[in-house]
Amino acid sequence: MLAMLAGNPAAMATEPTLDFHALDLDTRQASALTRRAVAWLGALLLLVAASAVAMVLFLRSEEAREEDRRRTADAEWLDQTLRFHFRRLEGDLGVLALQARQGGNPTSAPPRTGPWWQDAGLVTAHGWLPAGQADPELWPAFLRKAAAREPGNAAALATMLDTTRGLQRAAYAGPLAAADGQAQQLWLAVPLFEQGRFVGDYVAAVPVDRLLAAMIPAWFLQDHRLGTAPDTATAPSKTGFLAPVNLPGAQWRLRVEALGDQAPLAPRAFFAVALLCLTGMLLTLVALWRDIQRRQRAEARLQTQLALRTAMERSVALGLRAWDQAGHLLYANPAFGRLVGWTPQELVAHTGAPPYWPSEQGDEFEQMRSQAGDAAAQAGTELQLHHRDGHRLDVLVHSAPLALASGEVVGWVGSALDITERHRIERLAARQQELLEASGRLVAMGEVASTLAHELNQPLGALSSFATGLLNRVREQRITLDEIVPVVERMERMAEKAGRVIQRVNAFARRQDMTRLPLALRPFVARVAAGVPLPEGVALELQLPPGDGPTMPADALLLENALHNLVLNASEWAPRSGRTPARVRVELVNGEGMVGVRVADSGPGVPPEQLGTIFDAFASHKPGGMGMGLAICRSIAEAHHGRIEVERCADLHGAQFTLWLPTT
Amino acid sequence: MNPTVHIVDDDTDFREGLAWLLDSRGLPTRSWTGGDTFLQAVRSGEVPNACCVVLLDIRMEPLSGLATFEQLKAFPWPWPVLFLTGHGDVSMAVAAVKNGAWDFLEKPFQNNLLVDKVEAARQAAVTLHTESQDRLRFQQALAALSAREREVLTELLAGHYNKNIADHLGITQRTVEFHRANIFEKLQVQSAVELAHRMGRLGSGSGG
Repeated sequence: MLAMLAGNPAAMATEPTLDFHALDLDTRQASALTRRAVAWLGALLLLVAASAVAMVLFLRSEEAREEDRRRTADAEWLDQTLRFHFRRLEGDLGVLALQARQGGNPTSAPPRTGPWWQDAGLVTAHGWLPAGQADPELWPAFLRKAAAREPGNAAALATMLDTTRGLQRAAYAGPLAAADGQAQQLWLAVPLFEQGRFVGDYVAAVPVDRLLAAMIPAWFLQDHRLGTAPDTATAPSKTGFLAPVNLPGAQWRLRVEALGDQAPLAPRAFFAVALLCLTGMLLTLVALWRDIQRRQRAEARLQTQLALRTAMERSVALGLRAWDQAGHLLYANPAFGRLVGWTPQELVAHTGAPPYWPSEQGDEFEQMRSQAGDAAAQAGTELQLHHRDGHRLDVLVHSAPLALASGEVVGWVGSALDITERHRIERLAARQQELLEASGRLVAMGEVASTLAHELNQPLGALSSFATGLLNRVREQRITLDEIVPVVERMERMAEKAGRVIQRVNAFARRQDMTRLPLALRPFVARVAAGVPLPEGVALELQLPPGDGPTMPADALLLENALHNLVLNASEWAPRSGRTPARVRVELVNGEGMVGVRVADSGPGVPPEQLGTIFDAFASHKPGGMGMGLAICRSIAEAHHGRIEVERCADLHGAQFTLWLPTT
Repeated sequence: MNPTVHIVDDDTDFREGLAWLLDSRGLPTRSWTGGDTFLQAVRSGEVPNACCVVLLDIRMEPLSGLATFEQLKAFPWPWPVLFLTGHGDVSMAVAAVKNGAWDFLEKPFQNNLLVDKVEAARQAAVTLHTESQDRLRFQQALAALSAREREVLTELLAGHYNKNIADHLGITQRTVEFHRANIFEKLQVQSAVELAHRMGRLGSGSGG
């Protein structure tokens, strides 16, 4: 289409492109393609969904691991932080122990520096316990009070003190219940050695809640709640965990509970968005799939329709063509190709005047376009086309505008029906009809003749019998005069009877009256001659003067009968001489006060011995003829006060009949 | 022997003209107004099934000449039948002749020629009559042969000599000769050849 229109940019610019190749299109391939694409898309979607699930699983495990890591880190950090502070406290206590050994009251002169000592309530009790006072009975008051609080406290404190002595390093105990109620305290003892000899412990108590509040940074406490976990506690919940603090001798575990939702929001949000997108895609895909289903159904219907139409279009014997607005042939169906002997491709590719169009018929496109707009031409126009091998076809042509759904005319469509065969069959049928009628007339004629013969035979036969019988008797003189009279009378009656038969026949024959009216001869002759069905291969030539020609009084019906007979006769004899082409010529000739209608043929002519009898009734020389045609012609000529002549035609060498009619 | 000529025609003038003509030549005639009246007369025995000639017009109402002929043949009717035809039904008459009619006469006819043809038919009728009489007599004679004579006759017709016949039948040659002479006498023949000839011509079938 584009290639075809390339030579005509103006047309291409103004017209929507019409794809006439859709007539040859196979949509099955396209629909298979679509199906494959959908399959791929579905597989892809499955992959995406699977990866989404995997992603969820991965995220969850990753989150759990991350949480775990964070808790471990928190626990270690807590442990280190607290141990760091306790080591510092151990140092401080060591200094205090030294001071206490050298005398002086450690409580009155504590090292007032460091975080431990800024808050007064952080170290609730501390004191020097020299060696030798290991027995709980000898402990200072604050220690004894603490030991008395709970049953196991004394043992724990004693173990702590033993440990310091034995291991020569600081030891812890607790957390133990403190004197002021619920608050628990951690106990800590720092030994002091002088030259390898144990001289005493410096013991201090730290309340756990104060410790945590003071030593753990505020940012951590903001979103965590800390507390001492009971010995039996396991990991309390999803939001909390246990963090052991490794202080030698102390069984201290912290319970850390996260405050508020600690789950990381961003990945979830991202994931939710991604999921949303995926769901959206899924829905879109489902919608797309349904749409494709609908399309496929529609396509299947369309394909069936198209297949049907293509089959129809290919099977019809009707030739179809389409032009664009500029008159370029866009399309020709195979039937048209067969009709004219060129393939549709050749026709479409052809430039210039169409090869099948006889130039004397004018421009094909113009004619077709004017016909499409002409309501009177809806019955079609009979035209001729050239076949590739040179012969001509009679076609019946229809055309119509090619309009889009919007009503815009984008081209023209024309059909061509081959009526050569139809014409031939029509001629043949007319000829058959003529023959049938002729044979019918022959039968009727035979019947009339037979009846007439019988009617006449009876009285004539009887008459003859009586006459012969009478003659026989008279010759032998076996009869008297009296006997003769009745017989002769009877014979007379029979002769009258025969006469009456003849009268009846005459009356019957004259029943048709003749009406002579003015008749313009030229159009009359042209019409009648053209109406005679000609046999195959016989050409009719009319040599008539221009205008209406002479006018004369005549009975048109009778004259038509005569002329029809003459032309039919000539057309039957014309091919019998073997000369080709077989010709029949009808012309008008002028005589003295008469006009002649002359019918000549290229047949064998009339043999001289038949010239005298050719117009007699029952003198046919034609197989199946009854010999009435020329007799009737003569009767009609005579009824018009004219005559009929036969001679040899000088140039056609056949017979030449001239029907002379008076002009007045 | 003077066979009657039966004229069957529904046209009075024609029938009477023909009768007048034949009568002028001395032929005995009898007229019938149609095929049915004639057939009735034959059936009732008014017309004896004996030596005669029939002239039948082909075109008659209600019973046509051909139909009349068909019914007549069924009697059976050995006697000559001539058809009278007008123009156009000659082919019918030819078919009738092929079907066993004697001849046909085409109207209008040469009258004396017609009489001659009728005369010829009458002669044929007489011959036929004579022949049928001969046949009748021969058949009667055949019937009169004794059983032994019939056996000898069969052998004779087979062309055997007396000697062979004697051997075949277990009788003496003299007895064969005696039987043979009897057969010849009864059948009124002079030789074996004539016997074979007459047997071939008259010996088969019934009297018809």
